[in-house]
Amino acid sequence: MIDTEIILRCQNDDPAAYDELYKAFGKKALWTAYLLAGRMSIAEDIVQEAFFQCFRNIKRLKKPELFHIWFNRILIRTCWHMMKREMKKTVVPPEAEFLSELNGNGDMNLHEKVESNQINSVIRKAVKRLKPSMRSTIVLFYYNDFTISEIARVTGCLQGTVKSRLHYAKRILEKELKKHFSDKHITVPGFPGKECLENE
Amino acid sequence: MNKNRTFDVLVKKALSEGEDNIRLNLKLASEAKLRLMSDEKRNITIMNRINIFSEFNFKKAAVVFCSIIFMMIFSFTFISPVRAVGKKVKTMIYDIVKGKDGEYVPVQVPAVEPEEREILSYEGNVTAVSKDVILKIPANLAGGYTFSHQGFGRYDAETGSHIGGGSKPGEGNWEDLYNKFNQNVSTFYHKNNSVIVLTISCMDSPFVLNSRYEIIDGDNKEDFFINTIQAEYAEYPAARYPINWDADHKAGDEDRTRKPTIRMMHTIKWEYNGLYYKVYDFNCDLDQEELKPAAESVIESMM
Repeated sequence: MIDTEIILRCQNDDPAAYDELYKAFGKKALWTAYLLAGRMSIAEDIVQEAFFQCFRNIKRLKKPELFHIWFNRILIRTCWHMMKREMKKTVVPPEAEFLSELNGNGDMNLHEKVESNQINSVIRKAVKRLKPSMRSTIVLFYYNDFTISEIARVTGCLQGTVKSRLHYAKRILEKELKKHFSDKHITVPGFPGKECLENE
Repeated sequence: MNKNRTFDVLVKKALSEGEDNIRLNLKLASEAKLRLMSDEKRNITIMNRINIFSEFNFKKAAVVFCSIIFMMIFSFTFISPVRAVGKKVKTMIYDIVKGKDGEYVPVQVPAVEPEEREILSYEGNVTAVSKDVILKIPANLAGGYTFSHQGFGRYDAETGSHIGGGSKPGEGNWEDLYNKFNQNVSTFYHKNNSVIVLTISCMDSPFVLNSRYEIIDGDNKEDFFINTIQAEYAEYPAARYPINWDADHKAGDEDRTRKPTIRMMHTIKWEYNGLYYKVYDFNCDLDQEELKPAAESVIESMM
């Protein structure tokens, strides 16, 4: 949860508050941008631009408690803009393979770890292939834990549209997973169902 | 695999995994703050320049009046080319090049000695923008942009640049300023953080880039008509170099040894009654659709 005092200090041009804000939200923003853009170098550019826009316009934010929505709207739009620009470029390296370098899951045995990484890899690649609007919805819903109404405000569309995007994105991911793994292992919740709305 | 893991859990886990391994680069925030400061101080600098000229201290007026018309690249930072030209800097600086993918990127190149640099001379006619035209400049532009301040300039053949001064409405001796600098006029309009600049000049000068003054054509060009006037839309790269401020923080020079940020500036230009008009987004934050009504306001006002 955002400390509204930091926002108020930013609105009063306190340079230290800008740093605090960046430290509080930077990492989450960077990972969100990375999930959306697929490359860390672009993600860093996106985050820098988003924070520049944020610092520049923060005085216009009337409700500090809604900072996370306001900021993520800037972030997502910056992502879309930069991704559109990047799409013109011919060379787009595949999803960073650094998943294999992850150190986590120390309590898993080797088989589970390999299988877990395979599933993660399949999901990440499938997410990357989604349309930007669907990808944003999935990332905001699953990674940022935003509710349907929050996603609607961030992306500037109706809640019904968000639900629809989420539904179709889930179906695509489900199909991808079932291509690689046994059906019985994958339980995809129906829609509109409890799971899809559980963030609400 | 644990069969109890649901799809939601799997997706959430897949998207979250790796987050702990990234390192947040604190430099990104510093650079964002630096850009913010540069933007704010750039505005202060503009106003200070205006105050300087309003008081008619023409010694100080030797600082360069920056206009998009000749050296758009300088217009963003109010750099003083007079000072820059006088320096012999043997170092690496950043220039802007267009890559094969069409993106503009900064690259390091050796600094060019001033005496080796060819001054880009304007070869066309140089005449004054008449007072009648200046008086027709609209007070507001469509879209809610309101008049903020105005600058006057003239071409300086020696440096190949524009020099001049600015004025706030109702301040300073407008007549004297006009008599001194009258070959182009730049009018600034503000709305929130966006600034539209209208320049009117007797010269159809090219857009130049870098310390070598390379002429570039512009991207995404499009011709269209506003009323009966043919206008051209184009986008140009605007490099924002970090600024080394003077001790009093009222003026500064671009530091070309440091990497600039590059944004695309949007322009609409047209010719009318022998003068060249251009509107552009000073902060590179507007698009063609937002600039068009502004251009229409100007054209209607001049007709």
